[in-house]
Amino acid sequence: MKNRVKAPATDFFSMLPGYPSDERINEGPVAIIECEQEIPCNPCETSCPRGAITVGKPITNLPVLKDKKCVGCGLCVANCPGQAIFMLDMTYSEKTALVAIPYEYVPLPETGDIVIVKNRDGESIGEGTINKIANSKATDKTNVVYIEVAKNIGREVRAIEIR
Amino acid sequence: MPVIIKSLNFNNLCITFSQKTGMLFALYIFIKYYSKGDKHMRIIDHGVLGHEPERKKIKIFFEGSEIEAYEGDPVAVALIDAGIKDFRVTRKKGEPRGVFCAIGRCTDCMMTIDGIANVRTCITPVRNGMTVERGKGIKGGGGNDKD
Amino acid sequence: MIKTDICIIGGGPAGLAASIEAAKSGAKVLLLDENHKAGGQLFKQIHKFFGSKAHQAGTRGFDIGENLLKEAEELGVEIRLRTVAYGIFEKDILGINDIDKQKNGLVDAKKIIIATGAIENALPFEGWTKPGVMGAGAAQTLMNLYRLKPGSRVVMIGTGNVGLIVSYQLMQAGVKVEAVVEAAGKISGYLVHARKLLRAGVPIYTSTTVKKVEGDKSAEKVTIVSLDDQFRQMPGTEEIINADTVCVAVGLSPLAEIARMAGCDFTYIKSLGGFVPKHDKNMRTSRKNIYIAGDVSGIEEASSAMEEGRIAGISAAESLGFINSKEAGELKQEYYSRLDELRQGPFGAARKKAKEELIREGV
Repeated sequence: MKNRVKAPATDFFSMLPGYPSDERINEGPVAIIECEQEIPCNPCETSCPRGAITVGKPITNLPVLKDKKCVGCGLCVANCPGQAIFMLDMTYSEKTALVAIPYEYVPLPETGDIVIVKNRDGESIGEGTINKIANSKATDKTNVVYIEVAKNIGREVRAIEIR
Repeated sequence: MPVIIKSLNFNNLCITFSQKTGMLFALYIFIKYYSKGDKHMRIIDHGVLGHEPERKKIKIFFEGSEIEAYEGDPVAVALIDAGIKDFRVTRKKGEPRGVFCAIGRCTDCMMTIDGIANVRTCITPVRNGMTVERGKGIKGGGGNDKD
Repeated sequence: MIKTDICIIGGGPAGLAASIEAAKSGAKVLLLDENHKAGGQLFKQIHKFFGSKAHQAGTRGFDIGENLLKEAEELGVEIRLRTVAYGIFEKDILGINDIDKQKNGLVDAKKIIIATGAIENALPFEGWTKPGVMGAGAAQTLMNLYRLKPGSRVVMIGTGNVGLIVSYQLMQAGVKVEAVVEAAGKISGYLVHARKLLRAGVPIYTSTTVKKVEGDKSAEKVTIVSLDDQFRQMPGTEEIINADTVCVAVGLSPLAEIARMAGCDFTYIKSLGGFVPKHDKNMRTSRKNIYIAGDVSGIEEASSAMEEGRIAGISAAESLGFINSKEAGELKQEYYSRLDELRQGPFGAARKKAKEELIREGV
């Protein structure tokens, strides 16, 4: 009834320079940058140890992912102030993929927990198992939560709900 | 010796005097604590702020009742934590007012503290034994005590 | 009478940055702040800032605040807390009041920098004055400074960055955000901020506003309503939300009363928040000894406030001869380009244009 805002679909994001190619996604862990507005911001560029993200000047440029240089380490996931970067590993196992999301809530889930996984609109799209939680001084309280999910929802998972 | 009082209502339940007193007491506690709105609004754990630190508790008096407060907190924070959000009423219409800006600029949160009227509760730290009142004025509150 | 070289009114990011630059030059600096801790709104910003490394991007606001405070203290800035500058009088003498001691005093400063920040705007609707209806920044203050939940169920009005960020912080505090409403047809802040809310299932409604708030002693029920393309409420589209808190995030207005009192020339610029004191490239107002910096000079962000503060601090020190023109020029150039960088892109365009016109007009 009301004009409720919906997030764009994966198709939209896959056209952005920060989105890796299908080929690269199927090769192994890789970052996915869903940032489409010209905002003066470049911690993604400066946090990548492999120089796989380019913003350049002016710093309002959209981040470009050099997907061949990216190894999917997840540092950018923690460093993006807009929490707009995720990691996807479609090769995790035969039937499952690994998705990493930034997470700053309490309680933190624990490895092995089964959680509900949600898409960009907060709709439940399945379940996942918490694989690991990465945090360190470098991530400054932004946890990177890795969830094992069914491959077919790998590109959609953007949030979790702890049951 | 327990006095057996027949209940006025359902199923001929027999309630002893002591049980009735107990129920009334429970009802009293319920009303005392829940009629004022949500209490205990502290953030115990937080993803960025971490765990709630140990803090010194002190007592302040709000319109005669004792309220627990943490040293260093503004009066407004102690009141909201105790479930009190209406800090004063307006002079003309008697409408409730409380915190709006929380940085000491809008004056909506003013109360009478230790007898002094018009004190901004959002930026005034609590002191042990402090008295806090909604202030007296025409039509029950707010503004200068002398008007 | 307290005598000093540069007196700075307001210890937020602009004031602290100004005090650091001025103190570095060797000037005697006095910083006044009404609160019991300096830092302005910085300590409530628990999120990571945007920008570049030079702007301390990726660092949380409160950490930036701690760093600034530490640097100011180490440089010997005299910081007087719980002190209000209540007026500027003849010969630019400042009247000050120690709030706790209820003691008045006077400050005779050669240069004054006004960095008093801004206040949140209210939004009129039925029930707008009820307890429980507060500024979004007020909710932020209660949560992030005092670890207190402002309420249990919130309706947020406004999808500028303040509304979006505070909604997220409410969630971090364990408060339920029932809805975010935006009168315009689209979200006005960064979409990345909105996405954090969307993926958590928080509904964001555009062309929607709050019609009324009801409740006995405080907010209990919030009615939202759809707006047509003329921003008129459409009868029959009302929806009731059970919420005990309404956060209003509809912009800020500069707190420039003391500049007015000092006789500074003002101008009205909507994109900067309304009435702002005019200033030149050196952040100097029409009153030769008075400078301004930060939100009081036009609503932007903490990052811009810091750069403007630096420019004001250097300019004030330069005018007193503590820095030579060449050195001052180089430093200012660095800060101008950092400021410029923050104003790039579609989000900064209006402010960039407004500030350029302001400076072109001169004082």
